[in-house]
Amino acid sequence: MPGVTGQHREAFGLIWHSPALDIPELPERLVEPRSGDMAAIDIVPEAPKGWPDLPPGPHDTPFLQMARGDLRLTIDDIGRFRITGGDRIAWHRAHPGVSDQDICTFLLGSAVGALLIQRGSLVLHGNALEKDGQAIVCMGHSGAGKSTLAYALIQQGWRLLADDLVAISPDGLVLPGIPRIKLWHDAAKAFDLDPLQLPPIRQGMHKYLLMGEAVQRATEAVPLQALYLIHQHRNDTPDTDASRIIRITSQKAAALRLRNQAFRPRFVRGLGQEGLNFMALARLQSRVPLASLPLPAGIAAMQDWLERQDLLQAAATAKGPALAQQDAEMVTA
Amino acid sequence: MSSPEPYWYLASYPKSGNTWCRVFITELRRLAGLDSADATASAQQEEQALRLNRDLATGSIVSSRHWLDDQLGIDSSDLCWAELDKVRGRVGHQRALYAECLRYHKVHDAFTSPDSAGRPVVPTEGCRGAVVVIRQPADVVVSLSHFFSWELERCVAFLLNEEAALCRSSKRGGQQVRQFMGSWANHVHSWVDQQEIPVLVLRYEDLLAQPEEHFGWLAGFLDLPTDPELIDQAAANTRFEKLRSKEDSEGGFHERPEGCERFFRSGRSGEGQEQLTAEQLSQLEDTFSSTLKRFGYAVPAPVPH
Repeated sequence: MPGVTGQHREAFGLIWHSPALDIPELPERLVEPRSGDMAAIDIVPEAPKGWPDLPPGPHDTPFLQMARGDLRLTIDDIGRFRITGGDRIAWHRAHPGVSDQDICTFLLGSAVGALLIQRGSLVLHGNALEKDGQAIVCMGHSGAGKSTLAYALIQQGWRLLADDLVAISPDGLVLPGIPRIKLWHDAAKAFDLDPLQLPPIRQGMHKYLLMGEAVQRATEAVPLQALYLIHQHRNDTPDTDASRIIRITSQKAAALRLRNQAFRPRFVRGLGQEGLNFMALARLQSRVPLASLPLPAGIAAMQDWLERQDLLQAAATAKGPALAQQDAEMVTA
Repeated sequence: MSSPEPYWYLASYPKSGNTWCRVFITELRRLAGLDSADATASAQQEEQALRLNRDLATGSIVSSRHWLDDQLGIDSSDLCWAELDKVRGRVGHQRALYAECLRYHKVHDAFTSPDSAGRPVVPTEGCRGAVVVIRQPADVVVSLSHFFSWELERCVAFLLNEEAALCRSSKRGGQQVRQFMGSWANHVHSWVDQQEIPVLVLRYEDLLAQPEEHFGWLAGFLDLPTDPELIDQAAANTRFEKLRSKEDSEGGFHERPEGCERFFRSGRSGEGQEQLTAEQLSQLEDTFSSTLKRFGYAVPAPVPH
C-alpha cells in the first residue's frame, strides 16, 4: 500500500506497483496518488507455465513472441517476461541464482519499453535532458555513445529526464522516465569516477549504474525542442561538414531516420502498433527539428565542444547538408 | 523464427579479402540488374553507381549489436561476452529487416568460441553456406599492421594468439560485440572443418592472380549469375587499383579505422616476405605449417623477385 518504501514508484506519468521486487532505478513516488490521478502498472512474479500459448507471429524471433497486447521475452539463463494489456508486467527468474538486479536490468529496458508501446506511447531509443524548462532528445544505436553524452551534459548543468527509453506525450512533452545512466568502465574513468565505488549493472560486469544523487534529474514533463542523432566524428575526415551539427532538412530522410530510432521497432510491429507509431512520428517530425550531432572522439574534446554548443537551439538554426551531401543523408538513414 | 530466404556468410580472418569480395558481389548484382531501383531504394536508399561508401549493401556484419539487439529484444550490452556467445547462434535471419541484396553477411568470428559450448556463434539455420577467404598469414600481418596502426611484431603475436579476439574489452561499449578468433589457423579450421554448412574456400592470392576464374566460383556458390562477361566486367571494375582510386576520390572508406591512412592500401601479395624478419616468418611458418601446406602455401614461402 502507499507509504511502503520502494513499492510505489513513478515514471513516464504512471504509477508502478511492484510488491515482490524492489526497483530502485524508478523514482519513489512522494505523494499518495488521488484515485484516478494516474494509471497504475502491476509488476508481479509469475510462473510462465500458466501463460496461454501465442500463435506464431510474423515478427517473432527465438527470444520474442508477440501479439497485439501480449509480448513474451525470454533471456536464456536469466528469466522470462510477459507484458500484457499495457498495464501488467509478469516476470520469472530462470533459477534462484538470478539476482533481483538481473531482473531489474532487463525489466527496465525491454519490459517497460514494451508496456509503453502497448499503451500507444511514442517511445524513442535515446536520452532526454532538460535545461531551462525545455528538453532535447539524443538518439543513437547501441554503442554510439548516448550515455557518455548524457553524463557529459549533466556535468554542464543539464538535468536528466530519461535514459534509454524516452516517451513523448501526444502534445509533445517529454515525460520524466528512468533517471539513471549506465556507463562503461572506461567512460567512468574518463569522467574521473572510480568504478570500484559504483554499483555494476549486473554482478561481474564492467558497466556501472549512476543514479540517485549521482545524476541531477528533472521531475516535470517539459516541451521537446530538438532531436539529435549522434554519431562519432572522425578526426581524420577531410569533410568539414562532418564536424558540424547538420539539420536534416529532407522530410523523407528525417522520417526514415526517426523511424529507425524508435525503441525496438520489432516490438512496435509485433504488437500491432505500427500505424499509431507512424502517425505519432509524423506529428513529432512536423513539430520538432531533427539534426545530426557529431561527437568528437575523447571525453575531454567532447566536453570542450559541447560547451560551445547551444543544443536547445542548434537543431533549428543549423544549416542543412551541403548539396552533395543530401543524397548521403538519405543513404545513411 | 527463421525465414526461408537464403543467406550466406563471407567468413575470413581480418584483412584477408572479405570486403573486396563484398564489393565484387555488389558490383556483380548491379551489372546483372538484380537489384531493381525499388529493391535498392527500400533496402538502403542506395544509388546505383558503384560508390564504396554507399553501395556496399551486401548485409550487416554478424557481430553488429544493432542486429543482435533487434533479435534478442534486449540491449545486448547488458549481457557479458560468455552469455552472448551462447545465444548468438540462435538469432534468426529476419526477412523484415534484410532486403534481397542484403544476404551476404560478413563475419570475422571463428565458427565456435570457448564460450559457445561447441555450438556455432553464428546462426546456421537456413544458411546456404560460407565463403571462407584465406590469405598468406605473413601478408595478413603486414595488412593488419597498417589497419590497426600496430607494430609488425604485435601483429605476428596476434595471429599466433590462441585467445585472440576483436572488440574483446569488457570495459567499453561499441557497435560490435566481441568476436573470438583464436589463432589464424584456429580461425581457418573452425570454418573449413565445420560440418553444418557448405563451404567454398577462396585464396586471396588466387583472386588476385586469376580473378575471372575464382570470382566466378564465388558467384556460382552464391547463386549469382556466372556469365563470364559479367564476371570479367565486375572483376575489372573492382580491381584493387580502382578501389584505391575510388577511396581517394571519395575522401576515405568508412570501414577504415581512425589513424589508418587508407583501407585499400596495397592489395599485393608477398609483402610479408619482404617486411617480416626471418624469425617472424619462421614463427608463423612453424606454427601454421600444416595449415599452410594444406591450402597450398609453400613452406617456406618463395622469396619474391
